[in-house]
Amino acid sequence: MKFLIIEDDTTKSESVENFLNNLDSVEVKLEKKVSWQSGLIEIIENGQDYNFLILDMSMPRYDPEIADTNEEFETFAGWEILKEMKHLGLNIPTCVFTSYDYFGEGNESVDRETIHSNLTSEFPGMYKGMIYFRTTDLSWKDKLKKVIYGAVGN
Amino acid sequence: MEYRVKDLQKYLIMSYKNPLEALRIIKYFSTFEDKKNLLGKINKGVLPGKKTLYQFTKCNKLGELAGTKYIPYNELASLEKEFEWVSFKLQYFSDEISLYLELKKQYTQLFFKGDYEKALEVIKSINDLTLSFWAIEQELLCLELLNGFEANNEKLSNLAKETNKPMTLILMQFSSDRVNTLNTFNTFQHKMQNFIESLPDNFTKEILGDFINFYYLENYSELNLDGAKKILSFIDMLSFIDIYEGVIKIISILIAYEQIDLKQLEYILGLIPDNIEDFRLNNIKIIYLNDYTFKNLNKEEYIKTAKIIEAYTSNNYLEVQELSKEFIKNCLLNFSIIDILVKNSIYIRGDIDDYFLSKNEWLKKAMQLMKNIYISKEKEKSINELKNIAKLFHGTGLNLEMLAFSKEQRGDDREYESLWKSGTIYSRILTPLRVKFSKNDLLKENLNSVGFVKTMFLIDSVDILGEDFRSLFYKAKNIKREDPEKAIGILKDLKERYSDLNLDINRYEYERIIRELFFIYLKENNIKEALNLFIECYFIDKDIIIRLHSNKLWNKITKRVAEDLNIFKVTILKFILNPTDTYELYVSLNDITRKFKLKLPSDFLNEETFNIDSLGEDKILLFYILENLYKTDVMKHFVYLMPQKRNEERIFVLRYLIDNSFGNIKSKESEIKEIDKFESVQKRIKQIDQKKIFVDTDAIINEFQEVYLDRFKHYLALDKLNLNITYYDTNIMNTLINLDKEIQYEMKSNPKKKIRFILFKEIVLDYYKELTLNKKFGLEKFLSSRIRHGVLENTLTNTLNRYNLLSLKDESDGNEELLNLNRIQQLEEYGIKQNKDKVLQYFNNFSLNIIAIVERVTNWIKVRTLSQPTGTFDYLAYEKDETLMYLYSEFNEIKNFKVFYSKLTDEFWAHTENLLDKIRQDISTTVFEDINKELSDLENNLRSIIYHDQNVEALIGHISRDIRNAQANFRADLNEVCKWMVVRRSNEFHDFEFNELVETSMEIVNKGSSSFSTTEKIDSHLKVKGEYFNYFIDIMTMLYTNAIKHSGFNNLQNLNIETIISEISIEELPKYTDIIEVDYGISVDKMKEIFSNSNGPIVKILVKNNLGSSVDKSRITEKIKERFMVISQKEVPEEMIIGEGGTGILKIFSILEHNISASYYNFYYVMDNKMHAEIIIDFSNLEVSK
Repeated sequence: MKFLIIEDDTTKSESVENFLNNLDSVEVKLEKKVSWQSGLIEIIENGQDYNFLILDMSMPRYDPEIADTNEEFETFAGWEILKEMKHLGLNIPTCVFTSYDYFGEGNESVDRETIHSNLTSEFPGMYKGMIYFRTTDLSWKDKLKKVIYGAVGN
Repeated sequence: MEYRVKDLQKYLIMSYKNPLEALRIIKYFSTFEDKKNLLGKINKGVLPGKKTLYQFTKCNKLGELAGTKYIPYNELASLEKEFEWVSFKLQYFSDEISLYLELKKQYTQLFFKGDYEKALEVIKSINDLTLSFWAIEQELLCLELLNGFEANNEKLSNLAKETNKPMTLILMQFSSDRVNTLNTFNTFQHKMQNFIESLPDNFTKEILGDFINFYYLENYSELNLDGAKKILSFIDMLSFIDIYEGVIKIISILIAYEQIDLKQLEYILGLIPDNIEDFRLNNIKIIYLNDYTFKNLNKEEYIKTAKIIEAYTSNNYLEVQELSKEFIKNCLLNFSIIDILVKNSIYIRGDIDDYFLSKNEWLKKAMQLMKNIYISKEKEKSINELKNIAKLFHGTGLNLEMLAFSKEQRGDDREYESLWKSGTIYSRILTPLRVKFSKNDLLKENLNSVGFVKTMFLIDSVDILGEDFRSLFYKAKNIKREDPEKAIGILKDLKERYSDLNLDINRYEYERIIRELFFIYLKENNIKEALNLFIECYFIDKDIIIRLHSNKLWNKITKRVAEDLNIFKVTILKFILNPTDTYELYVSLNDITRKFKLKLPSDFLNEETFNIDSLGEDKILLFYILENLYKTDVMKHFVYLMPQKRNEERIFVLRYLIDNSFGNIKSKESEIKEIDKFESVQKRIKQIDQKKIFVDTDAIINEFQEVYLDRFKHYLALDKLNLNITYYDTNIMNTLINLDKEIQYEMKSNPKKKIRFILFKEIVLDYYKELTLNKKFGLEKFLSSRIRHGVLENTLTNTLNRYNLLSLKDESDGNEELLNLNRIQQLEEYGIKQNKDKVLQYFNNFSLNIIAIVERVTNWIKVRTLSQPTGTFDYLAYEKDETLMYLYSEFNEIKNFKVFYSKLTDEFWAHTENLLDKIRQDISTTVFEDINKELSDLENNLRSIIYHDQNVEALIGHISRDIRNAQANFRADLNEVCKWMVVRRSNEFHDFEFNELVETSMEIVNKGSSSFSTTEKIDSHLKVKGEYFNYFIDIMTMLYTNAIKHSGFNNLQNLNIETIISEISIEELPKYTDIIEVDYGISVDKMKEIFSNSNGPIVKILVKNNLGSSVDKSRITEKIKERFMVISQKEVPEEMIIGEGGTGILKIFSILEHNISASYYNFYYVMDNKMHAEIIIDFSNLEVSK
């Protein structure tokens, strides 16, 4: 089973990687991207190869070697990726993986629950749920496992 | 449940000493008849309670106003119960109310005529009946219009001396603010909302909030039955005038906004005493209850109004003019006449002043604005200004019609309809147009009978009266449902006929034609034509499409396959609707680009990839799209476009459009210049972590700019006011208002303060409140989203997790169990059973303690408020008068809005930096020690097991190693958190030296010009603070641009620019000024004085350039002198600083004076055929401390 993780926080992506590598009855292949651009290009060019996408919601627009990751930090980068996937007709089962309770500034500020319900209605079929990640809490593993097994029918 | 009348009577008698509760029971738990019976007896004195009931419903002392006891509210009671209760008071004072209405009419007539002095006399007579907030506001209004806001404030101040009741003071303050002509509606609204927000969350907030929302903010659409009930219960405390006005307004709004049905309306109207004659009540009956009678109305007023409107309908504009003069002299003005006068002035191409013979300047101003709105001249701005004026007319009833007019002209149909209906109730005259929505046929017949014959015919009939605009236009309007094609034909002809928009008449008519046409296209689902019309008109004049419902068009477009629609036009419509949604704009641009099989939008402009002329007329639309949509923030969504290429791409587009003379060339050139500057400066910006301690100050100022500007202007205006006004402290009052308890409004303090300080305080408190607590852009928002949530905990526990020392919560089964899976596994591997639970328990205890530490730190990272007392971000000091007084003295002289707010922001950040310093210290000492101690305790506890169980020794040894490693490494986590705890302003630059400054400035200037030669001699290696980089860049680029622009060389290769920068001592000053001393009369002593307090380096920056032979040196000297004359007045108008062109001397002055704020001297002169620009600055506070 091939996973794509688009996540800029190494603590999070390493935790997910460790978790996936210990998944029962699943042979895991994994690719990691750390920004909107590298993630989206990977999806455009090799999207059809992936069985599951683990997607951060907020991340830099570019990889560190391309541009200053702080200057273009996109709160809704994950959402934009999902929109592009829909536009391109790519239907990779995706779960959003986040540490934030709410996102964005200004008029765009929304809480996790609202985002979840918006994503559910905007990307039915593709969006499989939102996982809340905290280093002091283990429950994300169980939830992620359920989402992955649910998505791939295991 | 309803009580028996006998029981109520008994209860009332028993509680005669304090009958409030008994009255509450009567109000809410008895039938109307029983109430009537009981109150009749109370009124006669047979039963007790009269004093409580009516104590201050009629009052002649300010201290008594709003003094009637509040009957505790019952939320379960019906609206009718509330109306019933107040109706008894109206009944009791019905004769006085009739007298009041008569006097109010006199007052209004005088007020409309601008005879404020006489109007004030009438107010005195009204006050003899009873005092009221209505009359107080009118008095303040007349004084404001008569003698300006000083008179308003002075009166308010005098009134404030007569009462210490916070409720009265607050409401009077609100009235004073409302009629203050310097306050825009938005400023006023902002203040009201802030006041409501500042109240503690309890019933007071609810009830006062509803009252303010309704009575002051005029948010009528928000009035629901619950709100109406609360307001009715609240106004019961006021005097009978305020009760009556409140009741009429509530009925009008409830019925117009369809919150009550006709049956309810009939019942409520039946409660109003019959002997009260009020045209508003008649209007309600006529419109909604099919009652029609002239018996109580002024038929003469009707007939005269009809004559004027009929003359207008018949295109007899001069007759309108003559009849109006007569009408204004003898009759009370109504909005229908005002409206006709405005439109008439468009047709006779005359000035409103010519026949509107009133001294009421604000009414004239309102009419002028209405005219501008009709002819679509600065429409949006005029609508906003009209709203500002409408607030002044609140007490006269005219405001509802003005607001309805504003809504109609903005195309806000939904709100407009209800406002229009409520405005109609307040309209003295019901004209055919006003009552078009009424279903009362009898009314229409009667309007015919008073003389509205042609107008009625025009509005309703499909038969043409003539070939004039009005006849044809109404014909089209009236047949559009039955024969849309014919209507379209008529309107298209009219559109053609009135297409010369240089004429005001045509602008007025054209806008109405296209609105109707657009409406029919939408109705008929002719989306293509609707879109064509919309875009065509958008390019003709953006003001004329304000009323076209672009949203409705967009909804129709998105609901169907729109292949036959012009993709460029659809994109422009999308942009007009939502110019800030960069992703959606990208999607449209991407669709266009892909449709033409191109990769990037700029490929359209590349001859090799596309033939632009093949687009035909759409070429212009594409140009527009490229200029307005294809900007860097939209480009960022193009995944294959590298960020470094965006500016290149933008400049390429802009240059192409300039070469093709598309649109405003100057704006494009200046955008290119800005991009060049940005690129050069960008390199010097520090690469920093995501800004965690951040406030989007620009966004806050932007959001409230109008309010802040108004208030600042007001604050400046008060500078000249030499009044020592005794005032009160609004803050103290805010905390004293509490309707929940027995009302005891005792002012504990009544400090004497100047009103300007009060305003200053308001400005600072308001701004700092937004900086800290603004939900979108404030500090608390960023602390919460960028630090407190997730990331702080993750970082603080990073090392502890890495070494598997933390037991983690597992909530998946609904339990909050703590587990250390890694150690559990390890214990099993080591085969440890005996002390397994003990080991794990130590880990769990350790984890709980660490989580407690994390929570403690999390609680620090909050803005301190009453509800968040643990917050370290404590700005409460700025609420104290001592601090504010200090700031006030510091800021007193600042007269520039931007500088003022920039200084306030600086103060905020300086304070924040101090707070952060403490947090950093606490994290690196206290938190470090606490975690370290926890780790040591964990190790000691685990080691203690070894004494009893040797089997665990190997494992504990293993764990000990992990603990020590963690101890050695976890400081890095704390350091990481400390690194966040620094102030990050929007852009932060590296500290710099002068050679970097010169190099960057030259790079910026060179991008826009062909080559010229430069010489640099920089003798100083001073390190200057990064925060000044941008300001110095501005100065240097202006100096270099001056040299290029004004050197007089056609071929810039002949130009040489020399830059000399050196540190000098005070003693060296004179030798630099010899030359200018004579020309400019500058004294060396004065210069020495300027720099006498300097204890750091003084730097001289000299930029000189050679001049071409054609340059008139004496003219240059003259110009420079002129500029210096302006500067010497110290109050350089903002537009001169911001404005384009010129030599930039004023801009440089402004930067030196306000932004750099160091001692300086600058002079400009011609010597040896070279232009010299010389700036000497004291760098004591600008250099980086050594």
